[in-house]
Amino acid sequence: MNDSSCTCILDSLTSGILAVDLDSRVLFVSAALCRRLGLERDAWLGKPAAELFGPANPRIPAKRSALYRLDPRRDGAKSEYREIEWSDGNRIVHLREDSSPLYDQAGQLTGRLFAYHDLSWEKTIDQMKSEFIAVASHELRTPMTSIKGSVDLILGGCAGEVSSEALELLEVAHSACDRMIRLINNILDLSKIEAGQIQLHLERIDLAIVVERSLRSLNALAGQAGITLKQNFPNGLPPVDADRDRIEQVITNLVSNAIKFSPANRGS
Amino acid sequence: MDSLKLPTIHKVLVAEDDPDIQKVIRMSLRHGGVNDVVLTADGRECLAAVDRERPDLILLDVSMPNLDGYQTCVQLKANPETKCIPVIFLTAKVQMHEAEVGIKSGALGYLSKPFDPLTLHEQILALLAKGAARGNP
Repeated sequence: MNDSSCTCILDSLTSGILAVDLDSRVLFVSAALCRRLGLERDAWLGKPAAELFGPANPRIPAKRSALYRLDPRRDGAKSEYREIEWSDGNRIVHLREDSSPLYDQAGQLTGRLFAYHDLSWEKTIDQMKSEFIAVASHELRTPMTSIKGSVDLILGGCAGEVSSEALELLEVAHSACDRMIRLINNILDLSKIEAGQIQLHLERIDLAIVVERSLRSLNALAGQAGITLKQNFPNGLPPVDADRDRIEQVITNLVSNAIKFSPANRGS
Repeated sequence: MDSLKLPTIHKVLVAEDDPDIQKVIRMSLRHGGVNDVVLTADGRECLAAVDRERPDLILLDVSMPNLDGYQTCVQLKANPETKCIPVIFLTAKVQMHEAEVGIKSGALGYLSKPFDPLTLHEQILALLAKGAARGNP
């Protein structure tokens, strides 16, 4: 196969291809990458990639430098991938960059090969998913507010006395409401984690107090499963910087799973 | 340190478009000892009622027809006659950036739905105490 055929094949790929030599000079850039980034192929060839991508060129925003990162000599044997953002100041393109060493026919390292896959559609879908979850969370919270509010007010005696049987059923409804709210919150949290939008509120906390609170909330569940929860803290446990609510959530989830998936009546 | 005098809540104006949640809020406030609760269904009704009712506190939902809670709060805070009335959001819009918009619009606090109806009044008083400590309504 001659060079021309190879170029045709690489130009037919929808993913962008970039090859650099050991001095980080551009050996090849595919038509797809030129099209996606709006650049002239001839202007790239033979030029140091750092010049083309680096912040040294004032016309090229710093973010573009993220496109070219690995040193072919230093990182020659590594294959890596990551997600990056490319911007020409007017638009942002989300790309996945796969890079691997480039060898000649004799097996000698000659440079580095980069493949760029357009993630714009995936990002759009992700955004739509996050928006759907936010809307669903809001829409579910509204009826839950009415249900939980009504049940809690009756349980609190605001609607007069209720029979012990009714009280028992209302406790079931109350517990189910709380569970439903936790599920809604968890879905929203998961969406935030995936989108990298989770915000932690770090403060100096006493872990023993947080664990005690978690276990207290799980005592009823453990009791139903015939399990006794015990806590044992070493003396002089130092305070830690953490998000109190999130740590409590983690401990509660772990212990709750341990209760659910432990054989019944196993003691503690 | 001088003790801060907390505002007393006798009358609350509520803007909430869901009739069921209106009932729950009214009963929650009554449970907390606030018997004068004026209910409105959106921001526009709330703005129309505020001059007439002169409430001690306004509870605002965010997503409402005609005029949403954020815009309502901005208008309340822009009016010299109503800017000193504390506004608290009570909403299912629970994301951090949504709460930030609410606070930037001039509200004293942001409470999430579903809320605990038996402690709603206490939560409101706690926010008022914080506001008083900061010196803002």
